[in-house]
Formats: sequence, structure tokens, C-alpha cells
Amino acid sequence: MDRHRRPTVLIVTATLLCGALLMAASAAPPLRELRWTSRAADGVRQMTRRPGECLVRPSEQDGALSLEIGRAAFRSPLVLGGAAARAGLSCDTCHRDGRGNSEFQFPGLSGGPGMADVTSFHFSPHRGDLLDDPRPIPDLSGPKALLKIAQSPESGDLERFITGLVVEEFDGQPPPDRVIRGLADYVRALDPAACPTKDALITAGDVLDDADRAVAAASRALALKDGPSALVMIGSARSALGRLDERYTALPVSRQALSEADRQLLGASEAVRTGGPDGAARLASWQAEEPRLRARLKRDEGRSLFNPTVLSAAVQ
Amino acid sequence: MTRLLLVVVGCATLGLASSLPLAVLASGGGGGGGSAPSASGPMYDPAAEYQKGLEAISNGKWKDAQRAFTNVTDAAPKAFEGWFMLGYAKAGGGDPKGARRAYERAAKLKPEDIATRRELAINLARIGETEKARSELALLQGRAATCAEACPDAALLKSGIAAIETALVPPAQAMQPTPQSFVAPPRPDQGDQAYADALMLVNQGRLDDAWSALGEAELALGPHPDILTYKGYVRRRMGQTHMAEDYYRQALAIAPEHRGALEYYGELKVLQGDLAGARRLLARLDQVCAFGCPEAEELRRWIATGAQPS
Repeated sequence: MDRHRRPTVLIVTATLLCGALLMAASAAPPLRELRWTSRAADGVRQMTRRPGECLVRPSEQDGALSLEIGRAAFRSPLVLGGAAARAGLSCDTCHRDGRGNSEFQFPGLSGGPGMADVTSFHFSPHRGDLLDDPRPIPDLSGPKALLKIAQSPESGDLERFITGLVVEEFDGQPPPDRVIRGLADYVRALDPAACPTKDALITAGDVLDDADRAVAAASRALALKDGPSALVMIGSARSALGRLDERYTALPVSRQALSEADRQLLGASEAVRTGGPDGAARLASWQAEEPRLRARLKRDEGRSLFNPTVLSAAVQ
Repeated sequence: MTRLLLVVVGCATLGLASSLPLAVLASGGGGGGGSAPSASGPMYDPAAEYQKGLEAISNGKWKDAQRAFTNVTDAAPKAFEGWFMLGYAKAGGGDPKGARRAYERAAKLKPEDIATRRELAINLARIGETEKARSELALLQGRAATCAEACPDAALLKSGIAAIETALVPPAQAMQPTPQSFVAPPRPDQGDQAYADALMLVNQGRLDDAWSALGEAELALGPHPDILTYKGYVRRRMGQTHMAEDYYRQALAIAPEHRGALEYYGELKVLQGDLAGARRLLARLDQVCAFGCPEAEELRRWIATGAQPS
């Protein structure tokens, strides 16, 4: 048996090594997120483990939809706009899983790890103050009393704050009302009492879940005839597929599957944008085919950059 | 074992290919392409060649530097920095005639640049073209007189004039060696910082300062499509749409799939009322942007509005 297996094992090992070397040969880090991760940090650990969400899910249906819309928007770089969006930053960049990010370090924007100067001209012409005054990134899942914006739904303060953040701090377009409300509801639903006790390995399934949940939220927004919110959700799902794609750089079959899944979503967004009749059908079709994509990604996951060993080789 | 070796050899080959400039891989050369390599001309990644040239200079390898900067000027003939550095490499390698030709091209692209005028004059003096060197000297002296030591370039003008005057002294009478007074270009990290500064300066509305910062970035990093795109953007903000278009086209000539250049060029088309042209660029962006990108969404908004969205 060993005699038969050995060449295959060697080829797999060599292919893995080859893929890792190819990625290492490139000057850019293999994952975009590493560009704004402190060099002092354990980048591999940071890219392969997540703190876990401290989310309390509402029982009623409307609240659940709003939370899902907020959750997807929170993870989409397209929401912020301006230079931040072009760099690939989303709310989740600074607030991983709705928490903080002690290893965030963006050149020119962070004094030290875990800090950000939100009044820099780097991202926007609106709130710059010419002072280099980075502040610690708050943990959105920490005690509510420590957060500077009141979160009661009645006041609407949080919605106004988030809108100002997108439009003025990041020079983005005002998101649709339902998305703003969703972002606020998502932040409200973060509760320190609900935090997991340990961090967890990031899996391809987790990221595909993000895409899947965003597509489900898009379908429901569309059912409410809210095309603009549905487009934000589809954009978020596509971003999640992009995050998967960069982990499968050396695995062409999985990449092809991801590319096809993305093209389906592009078609759906075109249909939604033009008011075509088949937007909902396209999203349903995507969801129907998602299990095949999931299985494909699962097969290759051990050879992808979700595997800390493979990522470690690619980073060096 | 043989199969393992084949995989490793294949890997090594791919590794070599991946280290080649992207433009080389995209050119279709090397057999199997639709045209002979000589027909398509040599294609290089000018920013990568520029860095090679700088490294060769720092190691005193003038021939290598000349080759690299020639590649830069082949790939990006409108990029001032490529010609300037080619002149520097030619002069350093003992070819003042070649240096003169390169500096002349640089001077055409950026007539106001003091360092170029200075180096051109010095090399003209070296090959005995003293009258032409003197006319360059007179040009700088005229600017210095207008400036009256009060303008930001006063020190540069003064040192440039002194360097040319030293070069014009016949070697037998010269107390000092003929100068090559150019200071080494900034390092790549300084170029990154200058580029980041430019972005912030644009957001502050300081377009002239942003333009200078982009010049510094380009001197450090060479004709990089990011920098060319942003130069185009700054020109557009200054109302110089033809220059803006020229920079976007330069960026796209180097990197046809450059997202920022496609977006900004599309936005310029919208401003010019050419919605069909903008849509064509959006179609290219949608092709390039697998998994979506903000550049496409922003251009889509411009096209939908038919103007700059408020």
C-alpha cells in the first residue's frame, strides 16, 4: 500500500509546497487583511482564528431580518465608500466579529496596533483635523456603558452616528435606510454576556455562511421591494466569495466554482438594478446550488490558506 | 521520484514565470502568440524595471541601470522620471551624449524641472556644447532673478547654477571635478509615504501640493499606474481634463485592468458627456472586478446620475 501511495503523497506535498512558494514569491501578502495587521502580530493566528460574535438574536421576525441585513452590511467593504472601500476595509475590519481589533494597524492611520485616527484626511475630506490623534478602537461587544453613543432605538442616535460615520468619516454614499437600521440593530444586539469563552478556527464554511446569509437577506429585502438594500446584501455576499477566493489561490477547481457562484450573483444584481423580473429567482437558484460549492470548498480546505500550516508557508 | 522531480521542476518554472513582470506574461510573446515579439515590441512592467534601475545605480552597475531605464522609457515613454533616470545612468556610465539625449526628452516632458535643466547643461558642457549649456544656464539664471531668493525653489536654483558654472570651466582651469549634482532618488518607502501624503492633500483641497507629492512618489517608484491614475485625478480636479485623460491612458497602457484608472477615466467620460464611453469602461470594470469592487459601483452611480453624484 505504501508503495502505491507514496508518489501521490509526494506529489500532493510538492504541489502544496509549490503553491505556497508561488504565493510567497509575490511581494504582496497572500491575504489582503494582512496589509493592515500589525507586523508585530502573529499574522497566521490572526488570519486563521476569530474571536466569535457576542450576538443575541431577536425572537421576532422583523428584528431578525434587520439584524441579518446589518450583519451582512457590517462585513461589506462596499458600504464604507471612498478610499476605505477601495482599500477593502469594512466595519468588521476594525471590529472583528463585532468586537475590537487589537492588531489593526493601517499605515498612516494608526499610531500603534489597535488604534485608528478617525479624523484623518486619509479617508475623507469632511472630518480631517490635521492632528495625528489615533484613538483605541472600541470593542462594540463590550459593556454598553463604555460606548460613547447611546443605543436606545427610540433616540435614533446610533443610526445618525453610523450614517455620519459612513458619509463623513469615510466619504461614502448614504446607505439605504433599512441598511442603516440593520447596522444599528446589529450593534445593539451585541452583548458581552453572549461572548464565547474561546476563540475559534476560521473555516471556509464560516465565510460561505456569511455569503449565504447575505443572499438570504437580499431575497427577503427583495420580497419587501427594497432593491437598494438587496443590492447591498448581494455586494456583501460577493465580497465574502472574494475572501474565500484569496484563500484558494493555488486551487483552480475551487476558484472556478467560486467564480461561477460570483457570476450568478452579478447576474442577480443586474436583474435587481434594472428591475428585471428574475432577481429573486436568480438568488433562489444560487441558494439551491450553494451546497455543491460548500462541498467543493470543503474538499480543498486542507490545502487552502484556511490551513494555518499552508498559510504560514505562504506568509514566509 | 521522477514524478516528484517533474512537479518540482514545474514549480520552479512557474516560480520563474511569476517573478517576470506581468506585462511580459500578458504580451503573448515567447511563442504561441498572435504576433512576433518584434512586432509587439518589448513590454515591461515599468515600475518594476524602475526599481531594478535604482538598485543597479546603488550598486554602481551603470550598464544594468541603463538597460532597466531604457525598458522603463520603452514601456512608459511619457513618464518623465524614466527619461531623467536614464540620463543619470548614462552620465554615470560615462556616456554624456546618451545622457544629453535622455535629459532632453525629460526636459520636453517637464520643462520647468530644475534638476533636469541642470543635468542637461552639465552634460552639454561635457561634450563641448558650451553654447547650449550656457543657454540652459541663462534660463535658470532668469528664473533665479525672478525668484529673488524668495521662492521655494531658490536654493535649488542657486545650487543648480553653481553646478553648471563649474561644469563650464575648462578642465585645465577647473579647481573642482565636473559635478554630477543629482541627489539619489528617494527610497520606495518614501515614495509610498509621498503617495499617501498626496491622497491626504487632495482631501484637504491642496491640489498643487498633492501634485508635488505625486512627483516625489514617482521619482521613488517610477511610472506606477496608481501614481499615474492619481496624477490624472488631480489634473481633473484642477480642471485640466485633457491632461487627466492623458494620465489615465498612460496608466491603462501599463496596466489595462487597473481598477482606479478605469473608474476615474469613466468618470471623466461622464463629465465630458460621453456616457457611451463611460459605459464601455464600466463593462471592462465589471469584467475585471471579480467578486465586486467599489470602483465599479462608484462609476455606476456616476453613469446613473449623468454627472458627479452629490
